[in-house]
Amino acid sequence: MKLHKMYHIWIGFTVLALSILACIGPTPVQPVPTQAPQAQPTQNTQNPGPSNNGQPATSRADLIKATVQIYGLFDINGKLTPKYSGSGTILSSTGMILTNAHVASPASQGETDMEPDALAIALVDKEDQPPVFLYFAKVKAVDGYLDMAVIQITSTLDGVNVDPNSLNLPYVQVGNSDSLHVADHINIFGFPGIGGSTITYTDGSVSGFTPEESLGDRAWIKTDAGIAGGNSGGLAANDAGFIIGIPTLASAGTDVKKITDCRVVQDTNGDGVVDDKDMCIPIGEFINAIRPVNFALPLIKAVQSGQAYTSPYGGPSQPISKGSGGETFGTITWYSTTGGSDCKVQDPISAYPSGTTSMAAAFSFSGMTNGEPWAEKWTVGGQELYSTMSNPVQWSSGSQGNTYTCLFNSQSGMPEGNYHIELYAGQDLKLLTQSDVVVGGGSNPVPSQPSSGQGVVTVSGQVLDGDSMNPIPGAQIFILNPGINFAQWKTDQFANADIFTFATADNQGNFQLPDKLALNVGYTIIIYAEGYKVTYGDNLSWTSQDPVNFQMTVKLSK
Amino acid sequence: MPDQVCCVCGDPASSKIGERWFCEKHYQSATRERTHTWRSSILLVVGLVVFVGIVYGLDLLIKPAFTPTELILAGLLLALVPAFIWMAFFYLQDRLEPEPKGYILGVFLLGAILASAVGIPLVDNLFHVSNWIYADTATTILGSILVVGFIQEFLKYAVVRYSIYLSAEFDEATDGVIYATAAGLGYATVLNLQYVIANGGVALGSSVIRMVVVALAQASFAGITGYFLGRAKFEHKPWWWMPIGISLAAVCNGLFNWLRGLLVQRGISLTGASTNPWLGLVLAAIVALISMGLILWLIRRNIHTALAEK
Amino acid sequence: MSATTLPSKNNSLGQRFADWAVIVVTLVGLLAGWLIKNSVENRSIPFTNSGISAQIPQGWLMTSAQGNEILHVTDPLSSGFGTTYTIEIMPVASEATVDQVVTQLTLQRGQTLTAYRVLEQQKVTVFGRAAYEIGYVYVESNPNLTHNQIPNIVRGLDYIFLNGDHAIVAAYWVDEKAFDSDLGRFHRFLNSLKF
Repeated sequence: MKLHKMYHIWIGFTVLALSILACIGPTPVQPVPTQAPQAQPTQNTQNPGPSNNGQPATSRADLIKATVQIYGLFDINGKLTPKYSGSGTILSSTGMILTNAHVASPASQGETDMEPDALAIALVDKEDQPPVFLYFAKVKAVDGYLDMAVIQITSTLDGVNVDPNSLNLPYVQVGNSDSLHVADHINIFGFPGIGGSTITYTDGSVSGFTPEESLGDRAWIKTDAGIAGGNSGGLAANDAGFIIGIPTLASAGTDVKKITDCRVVQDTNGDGVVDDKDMCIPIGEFINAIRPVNFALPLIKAVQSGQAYTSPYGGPSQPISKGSGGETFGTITWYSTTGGSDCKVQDPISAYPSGTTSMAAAFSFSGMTNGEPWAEKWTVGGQELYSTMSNPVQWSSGSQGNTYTCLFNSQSGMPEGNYHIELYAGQDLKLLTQSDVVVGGGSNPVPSQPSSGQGVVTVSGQVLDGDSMNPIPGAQIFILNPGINFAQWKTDQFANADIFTFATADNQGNFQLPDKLALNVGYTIIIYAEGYKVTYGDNLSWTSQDPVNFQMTVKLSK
Repeated sequence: MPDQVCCVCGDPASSKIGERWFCEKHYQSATRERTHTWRSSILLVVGLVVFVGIVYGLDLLIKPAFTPTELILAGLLLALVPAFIWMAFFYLQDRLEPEPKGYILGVFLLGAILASAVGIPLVDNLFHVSNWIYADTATTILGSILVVGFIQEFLKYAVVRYSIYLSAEFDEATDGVIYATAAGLGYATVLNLQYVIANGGVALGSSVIRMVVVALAQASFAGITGYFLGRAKFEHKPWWWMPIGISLAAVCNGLFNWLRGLLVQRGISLTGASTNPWLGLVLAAIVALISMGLILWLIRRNIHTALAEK
Repeated sequence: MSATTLPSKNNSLGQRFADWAVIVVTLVGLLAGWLIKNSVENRSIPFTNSGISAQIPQGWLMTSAQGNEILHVTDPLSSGFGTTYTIEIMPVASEATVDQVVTQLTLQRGQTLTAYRVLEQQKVTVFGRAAYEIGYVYVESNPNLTHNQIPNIVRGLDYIFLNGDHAIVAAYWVDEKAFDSDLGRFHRFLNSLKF
């Protein structure tokens, strides 16, 4: 058999391939080339943070990686908003960071209203880009007199606790500040401004030492290097790469800080514009004093050995625990609600009917501080239903007033039984109030069943390919509000508002619609699956003849 | 008398059909009535439908519990069956059909190779057909014709045109249909094999319906191309004859796929029976019978006309 | 004479013409199919809100705007995580630099998205307009806890454009398996963005 003239085919396909390649145009997104060539090649790791794999800094690039920016965050309208920034130095691969006390805990310096609700830590990924915020940290040791503090990374920004041993962060080794001499060279790293400035380096020399009461002759290292305010708490290293001090605001502690610049950066009042109605962030004056690192050794040792640090100078030394100790919660009153996750309180109620989808416990409170931890524990029939004890939430409802907490289960209603709620608050989570209430008529928790006689049906099922009978994972099942059919939904631009409920098929193609459907009402059901035509059925309704738990198998065909 | 040579073998020719000269042997061959080809086509279609029924029934009654590997192997086996059935029927007609089995097998394999090397990659990986083709009815029809139809029909055409077409074994119009159908079945077999593998094993009862539908469809449309090829070789046809032929095959391919989709996917109802694959099988069987019948009838009529002119 | 010699008639001009004609017709058909594919994939409808206009893909589900987010559309046909485009407006100080918005944005994302990790960040030009790009990844925290479903890894791209007293953030969230294949469509969306 001869295969003559197959070249016809190959030419044809070459033409096709070429014409397809021609459709690829110029790149839409172009990176902006960096302005100046970098003096030193940087280690361009993809992820900020673990680049040295927990090794001590040895080169300038390593020192940069071990310098962090710290934001003091405050809960404003439910969002954590930065109000001030500073710098810090990582001292161990497990995320122990040395910084100023007025950066970690302004309350230790007498400014209790500036005490943050959280400290956010940003690490450098690329030198010419802003550092990336990755972690929250907590204060472990603070000395208000020295203006030094040691903080520890505790969790990632999404709230997940981290195991410090798994962090493997680059760190700077502690040097001996007592061996410094006048005219020695100092390298200063930090983040001068608020809001995304890149890491900055200045250098200078030791121009002298300044005494301070109780601290001896070498209380401060004076330098001729110009250090901007945001560098406060950052890294001052000698040429060998060891940290020998922390740049600190010269007027910290006793003198009144002269705020030379207060800049508005974020829309803190939520009115949609950034103007002078929003909170402004103080940018401090220039620093020229460095606190020698040897004073920090007792704090570091205390944190490493897990002991509490006591300041020998009489300054505040305990991490300010949010919570005055005088917190009280009043008696709980139970309220009926608008139902489900909406949960708005309506009227006081003494017991909940069975099938109720949400419960609200209202109580008065006083002596609370925003940011202090509080927790709740719900049990039904003696078994724990819901608890935040292991992950307490930050209080954000002010110092006194009335509030309520809600628990809901839209899908199948709250289980019936005898409920018991306990509320705790304070650093040590003291039990402040508790209450009991009954849902339904029963005394034992009954596994939630669809309530009968209410004219609803729970729809679940499986989505399969009609030919192979294999499940279609990821298929989306939508039910539209009664009265809207597919064509109408299409003209509504597939608006989310028209969707009554929806579910996604899991790996076995199984789905369950979370909301129950009413009987004798026409619904439109639509199924989307990648690679298949959009399939739908208009005006489907269930009657009382159908089982309360309705199963349907949907087969799609290509 | 001018020195005419047979258009098939080059031997001296004595008889003429239309514009072409044939030697005695090939003249006999070209004018022979091929009723048995029609018969074997009906038997083929019936045989395939019966095969579907058997497998579906067995699956329903026995409900075999296969391990995943066994399921894939069983699926692969099923994918090969339609081709075997056709081959079997073809060999049974052997004494009347002198086409060399080796050539038939070769064309079948070529069809399979082109399907896996060119056809499926083009449809799935270059055009990503399943992503956009269901957007609306017009897109489905046009996409099925222009993309899927042309790719599949062109490849089957190429298999025949650039191999067996040039041989002397291709000595009459019906050969075009026969070889093209072989290429079509090769293509279909690869489509079915890939279906089993890509899905990691499929339900045997319902999938056999799909497999036979694919086999019947691919064979039918290839038959159209084969008819046009067959006549092109032995008659002076204008340059637009073959392009029309392949376009017709592509159009039928596309329309069939769209129609099958319409019939099979019923939309969602509460009884859950949202697909009806049997309708697809019925459609495929009807299409196969009609196209085969029409083609063979046309060929026969053509021969009669040519003989009558003589 | 052997039965397999090729008579010269097979290479007649008409025959060659026909061969080429078939190839041409097929290529034309494929080209037309390609054009249809492109036009279908690019079908879009106009969208305008707060002085920002764009062309959003047709057939995508639209979630009503809430808060700073003025656009949130999702492709219902993508498997895994549904490819989503969003546009958010963030008020900024008039003399703010894009770096400040970057930090605000990463801080915000880090708190709302599970396992948020920044992959890269850089200044870019988007179709000639200055912008800042942040590439990141996060895990879709599965709301459907009752079913066994492997959570999806989502890759995201944020493009920050400074526009006077606010910053416009156009975001692209997609299942990491589909990141490259769906990126072209997002670029077309970016190109249609006007403010």
